[in-house]
Amino acid sequence: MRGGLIIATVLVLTTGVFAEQRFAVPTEFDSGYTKPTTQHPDPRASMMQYVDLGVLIATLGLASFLTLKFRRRWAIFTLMIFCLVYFGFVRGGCVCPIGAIQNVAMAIFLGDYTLPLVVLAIFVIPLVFTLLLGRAFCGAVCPLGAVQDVFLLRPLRVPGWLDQALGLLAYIYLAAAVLLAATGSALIICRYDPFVSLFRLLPLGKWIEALTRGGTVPGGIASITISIHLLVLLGVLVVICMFVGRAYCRFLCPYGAILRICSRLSLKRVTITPEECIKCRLCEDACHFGAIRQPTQTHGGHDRTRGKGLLAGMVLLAGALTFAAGWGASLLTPYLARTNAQVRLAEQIWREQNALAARSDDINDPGEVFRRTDTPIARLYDDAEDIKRRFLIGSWIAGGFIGLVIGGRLVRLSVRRRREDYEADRGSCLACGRCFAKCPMEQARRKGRSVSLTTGEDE
Amino acid sequence: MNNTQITPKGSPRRDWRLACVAVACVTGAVSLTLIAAMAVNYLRLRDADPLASPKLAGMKEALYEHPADEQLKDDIRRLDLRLRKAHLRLRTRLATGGLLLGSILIVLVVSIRAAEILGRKPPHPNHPHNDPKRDDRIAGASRWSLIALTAAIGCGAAAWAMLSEPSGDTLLPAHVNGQKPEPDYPTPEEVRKNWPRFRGPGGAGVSAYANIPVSWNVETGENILWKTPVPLGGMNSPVAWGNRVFLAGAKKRRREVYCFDAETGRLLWTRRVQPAGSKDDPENVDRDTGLSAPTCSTDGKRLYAIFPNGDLASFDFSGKEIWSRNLGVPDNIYGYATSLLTWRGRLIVQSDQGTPDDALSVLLILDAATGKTLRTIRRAVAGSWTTPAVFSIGGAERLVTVGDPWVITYDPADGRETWRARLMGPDVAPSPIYSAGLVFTVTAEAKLSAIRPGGTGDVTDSHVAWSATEDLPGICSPVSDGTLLYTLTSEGGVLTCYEAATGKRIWSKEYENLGFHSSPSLAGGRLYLFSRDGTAIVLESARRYKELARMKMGEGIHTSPAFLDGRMFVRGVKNLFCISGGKK
Repeated sequence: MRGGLIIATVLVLTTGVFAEQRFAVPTEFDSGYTKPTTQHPDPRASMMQYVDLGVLIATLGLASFLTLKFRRRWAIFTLMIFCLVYFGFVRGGCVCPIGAIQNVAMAIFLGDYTLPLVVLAIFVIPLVFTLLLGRAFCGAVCPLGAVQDVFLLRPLRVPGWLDQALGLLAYIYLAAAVLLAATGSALIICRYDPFVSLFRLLPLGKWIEALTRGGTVPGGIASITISIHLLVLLGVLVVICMFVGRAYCRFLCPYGAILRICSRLSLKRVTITPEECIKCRLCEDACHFGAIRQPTQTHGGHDRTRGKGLLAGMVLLAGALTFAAGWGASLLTPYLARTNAQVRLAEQIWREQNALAARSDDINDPGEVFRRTDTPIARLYDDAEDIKRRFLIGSWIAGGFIGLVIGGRLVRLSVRRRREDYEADRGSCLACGRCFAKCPMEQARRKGRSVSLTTGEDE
Repeated sequence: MNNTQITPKGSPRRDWRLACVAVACVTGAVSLTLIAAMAVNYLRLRDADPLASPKLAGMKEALYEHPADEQLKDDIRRLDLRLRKAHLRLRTRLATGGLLLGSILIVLVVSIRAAEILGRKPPHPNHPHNDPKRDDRIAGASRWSLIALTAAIGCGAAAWAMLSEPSGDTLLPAHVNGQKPEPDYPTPEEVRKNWPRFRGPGGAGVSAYANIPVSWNVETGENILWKTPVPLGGMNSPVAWGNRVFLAGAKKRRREVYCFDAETGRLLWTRRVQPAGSKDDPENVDRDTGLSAPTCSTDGKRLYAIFPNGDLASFDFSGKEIWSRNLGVPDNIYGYATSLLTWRGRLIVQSDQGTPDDALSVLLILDAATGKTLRTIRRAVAGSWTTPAVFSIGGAERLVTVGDPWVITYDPADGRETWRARLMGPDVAPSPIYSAGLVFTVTAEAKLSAIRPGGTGDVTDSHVAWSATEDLPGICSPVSDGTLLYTLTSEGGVLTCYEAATGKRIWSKEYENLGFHSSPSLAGGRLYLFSRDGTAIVLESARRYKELARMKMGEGIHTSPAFLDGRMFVRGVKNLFCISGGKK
C-alpha cells in the first residue's frame, strides 16, 4: 500500500512538470462558441507489444547467428541499421532492456508494483542470449549502440589503464539507478537517456501510425516535444562518440555492466579466427573498443611469488573496499533520500512549519498540493522515515556493490593469465564483427585458402 | 604492406572523396546555422508562454472587476488567440527545425563516413611488443587508475554532502520536537540596530541611536568621518548593516550595486546586475526619478537590489551573486521607484503600474533565498512610487501598502488582504508610517490621513481618525517620534508639525528657496532635513520650532540618510558621506 502511495506521488508530481506545458481550457463566454469534441486516439494495440518482443527475439537470434556462424561484418551492420530504425526511430527507444532494469528493481523492492511480463521478457531475453551466445545484443540489436557506431568517425585508442577506470562508472550508474528505482524515487535511466531526443527528432512510429489511420500526426508537427537539455547532452555525447568508440556502452551503460558480467560466463563467444592466429595485429587495429587482448609474456619464478603476494593483498583490499564503500554510501543516506519526492515534501512541510521556509500558495507548489489533500502530516513524516530507512539499507548494498566491483577489478588485474594468441576479451567484446572482418586467416578460411604463419601471405 | 595513399591524385576515388568532403562541409555549416536558429527560437518560445502573459492575466483580473464589459471579453479572446497562435507557430518552427536538422545530420554523417572510407589507408600495425614487464606495467597502471578514480568519487561524494545544507539528518521528522535551528532571517533587535531598508526599521525614518552629530562641516572635515565618490548616480538611499553600507547606481546600459566599508568608506566591491531578459534603458523613466531610484534592502546575510527595468538581484555580503531575475519592465509613467522590503525570509516587491483598469499592479512575495515567486497578489491600483512596510499592530504583523486610490493591508504570512481604505489620489510617492497606534498616509493630490488599524474590508468611512488637507507633501514621507508628526513638502519646503494622536496642527515652517526630495529623519530627538541643493538643517523635535544648525553639503541631496551607532550616511549627487562625531 505504502509503495503504491510512493509511486502515485512520484507520478503525480512528475506529471505536473508536463502539465505546465499544456494549454488551459479556453475561457468560455456566452458567445455561441462551442468547444471542439476532445479526440481520443486509440491506444496502441496490446498485440503490438508481442510483435516488439518477437522482433527482439528474432533480431537477437539473427545477430547471434551472424556473429558466431555467418561471420560477416556487412550483415551485422545491416541488422544493426534495421534495429536502429525499428527500435530507435519507429519505437522511440521504448523497447529498452536498459530502462527495464528499473522496472525489475521496483518489482523486487516495491511490493505494490506489478511488473508487466513483456517488460520482464525484454529485460531477461538479452541476458539469456548473452549467457548462451555472447553480447550479440550490444553488437547489432541495441539502437543506442547503433547510434554511437554510426557517429564513430575517427576512433582514438583509450589507454588500457583509463579504460579500466572509466568502466567503473557504468557500475556506479547501475547501482544508483537500482537504488533510486527500488526506493520509488526516480527513474534516472529513462530521465537522462540522451538518445531518446534523437529518436524523437524523427518519430517514424508516429508517422506510420498516422498514415495507417489515414490521417495526420495527432496534434500536428508542433506536438513533437524535445528537451533542449537532453539535446545538448546528446550533442556532447555524439561529439565524444565520434572519437571514442561506443563511449556510452563502455563507460556508462548500466545494462552493459550486467551484460559484461554475463558475457564472462557465456557458453559461446566471438572468436577472431577459428584457425591459428598469425599475430598480425590487424584485429587489434580494427577493434575500436579496446576489447582485443594481446598474447601474454612468460614470467620467471620470482615474479610468480611476487604476483601471489600481490593477489593476496588485493583480495584483502577488495573485502575492505566492499565494507568501506558500503559504509561511505550509508553516510550519504540523508542526501540521497532527497531524490525522493516524498522525502523532499516532508522536509519542505517541516521547514514551513518551523518558519524556516516561506509557504507558497502556488497550486503547482508540492507543499500547497499536499495541504489541499488534507493528508495528516504525521503520515507524511512516517512515510518519509520509511523511505529513509530503505535508503539506508539500499545505500549499504549499493555502496558495497560498487566496492565489490572495484575490488573485483583490482583482483582480476592481479591475476596472471596465459594467452597464446590475440583474443577478444569475454567481458568487453561487443560482438560487432570488426575483428574477424579484418583477420586474414578468416578471409582465407572463407575463400578456402591457407595463409603463411610467418608472412601472412596466401600460400 | 605500405603506407602510401590509396587515393592517388586524379583517381575517381579521390574525386569522390573530395565530393564527400564538400558535401560534409556544406551540410556541417547548414547544421550549425540551423542549431543556432533553433537555439534562438527555443529562447523565444520560452518567453512566449501564453499562460504566463502578464497582459492576459491582467485583463482577466480586470474582467472580475467589470464582468459585463463586452469589449474587454473580445479583447481577451483576441489576445488569447494571438498568444496561442504565436506559441504554436514557434513550436512548429522548432519541430520543423528538428526534422530538418535530423535529415541534414544523416547526410552529414553519411558523407563524412564515405569520405573516411574512401580515404582510408591500409592498416599497418606495429610489431608486437616483447617487453616481459609490459603486462605487469599495464596492470599496475590500471590498479592505480582505479584507486585514483575511487578516491576522486569518494571526495566528490563528501564535497556534495558538505555543500548540501543543511544536513538531511536535522530535517528528519524525528527531530521535529528537538532543537529548533536558527531561522534564516534577523531578529527584531538586530533589525532595530541596523538600517536594512529605505528609511530604516519599519520604514519610519527613526534612528535607534541618539549619538548623531548636530553639526558638521564638509569643507573642514569636522565630524565628517569619510567621504567617498559613488561610481554611478542614483536616487536610492543608503542601507547599512554591521560594518557595511550598500548603494545602487545606474546609467543607460549599466546597473551596479556597491558595498562600502562603514568604518573607512572604502568601496569594497561593485557588482553588475544583468539577469537573463534584462533590457537596457527602459522607456518612460523621468529624469527626476532616474535609472536607480529604488533603495536596496538587506536581511543581514543577503543584499537585494531592484532597478526600473525590472532587474532584481541578490548578493551575499562578499559580493557573490545568489540569484538574479528580470521581472519585466514595469508600466510606470515616471519610472519605477518603489524600494524593496525583506520580512522573515521573504522579499516583498510592490509593483504598482498603469491605471486601476489595466490591472497590472501586483505585490510579489518571493523566497529571499532563491528568488522564487511564492505569491503574486493582484492589486486594483494605479502606478505608485511608495514603499510598503510591515508593522506590528496589536500583536499581529501587517503589511501596509499605499497606491492610487487604495491603502491596502495584508497578512504578510499568507498574502491575505485584511483591510483597505480609499484615501489616496494620483501620483502617490510618500510611504506609510505607523506611530502612536495610527497608520499615516499622505499624498499631495488627496490628504494626510491617520488610520486606526483594524476592521475588515473597506474601512474608509469607519477607521480614519483624522485627516488634513493643507501643505501636503508629494514626495517626502512623514516622520513621527510617537507624539509629534512631521510632514515636509517637496516644493516650497513647508515643514509642518502635527499632534500625532489628534491631528492638531502645532506649527509650520517654510524654508524659502529650498525644495526637498529627501524625507525627514529623526535621531536623538532631533530632525534631520536635507534639501535638493545640499542644505542640511537640524532642528529639535518639539512643540516649538527650534533650528539647531544649518550646513552646506557641497552637492545636491535627493536621498534619505541611513543611521548606525554614532554614524549617519548621506548620499549626495556625487559622494557618500559618513557623518560621525566620534572621529575626524
